[in-house]
Amino acid sequence: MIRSTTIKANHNTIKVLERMALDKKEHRNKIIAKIKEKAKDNN
Amino acid sequence: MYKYNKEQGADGPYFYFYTELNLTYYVAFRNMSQETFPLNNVYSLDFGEINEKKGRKDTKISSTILNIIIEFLETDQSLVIHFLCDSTDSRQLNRKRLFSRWFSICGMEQWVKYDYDFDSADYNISFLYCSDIYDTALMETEILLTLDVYERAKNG
Repeated sequence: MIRSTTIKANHNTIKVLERMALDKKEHRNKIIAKIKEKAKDNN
Repeated sequence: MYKYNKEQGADGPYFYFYTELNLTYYVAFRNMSQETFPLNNVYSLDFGEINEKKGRKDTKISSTILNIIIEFLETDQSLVIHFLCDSTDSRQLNRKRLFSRWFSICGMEQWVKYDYDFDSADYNISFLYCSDIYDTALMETEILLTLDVYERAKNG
C-alpha cells in the first residue's frame, strides 16, 4: 500500500532535510571509496 | 539478476555488483535508529552507480537492486526503511516514481510505503514499514517528531 502526505516545510524542516541529504552524501562517498578500494586490491 | 557481494560497513550493510557493461552499482543501508519504538530499527537506503553512470536498458540492474532490498527486509520484519530522494540534480520526482513502481511490483502486500512531500522544498522522503507490526497513525506521528529529534541529535 502506498500512502502520501504533504508537509508544510518551515525553516527547521528544510534544515533537517538538508542535513539528511548531507549525511546521505557523506555515507555514499564512504561506501563508494570502500568499493573502489576493494576493486583496486583485487586487480 | 546479477551476482552481488555483501559487506558490513560501520553503520550497516552494503552490497555491490558489476554489470555486463562494467558499471558498478551499490545498495547501502545505514542505521538511523532512534532510542524508542517505533523508530528503533530504522535504516536509510541508498543506491546508485559508483561513478554516476547510467545503465540504461539493462533490466538486470533494477531487478538486482530490488532483490537486495527485499532480501534485507526479509531478515527482520521490524525494519523501517527511510529513503530520501536526492534533489541535487532536480530528478527527485523521477526517483520517487521509480521507487514507487518497484514497490508496487515487488509483492510486499503487508508493507506500507509512506511518502512525505514538502510544499516548499525539493525533497521527498519515503518510509517503508510492515503493517503487521506498525500502526500507520502512530508511524505518522513519530515520523514527524523524529525529523525534529534527528536535528536535535545532530546538534547535541
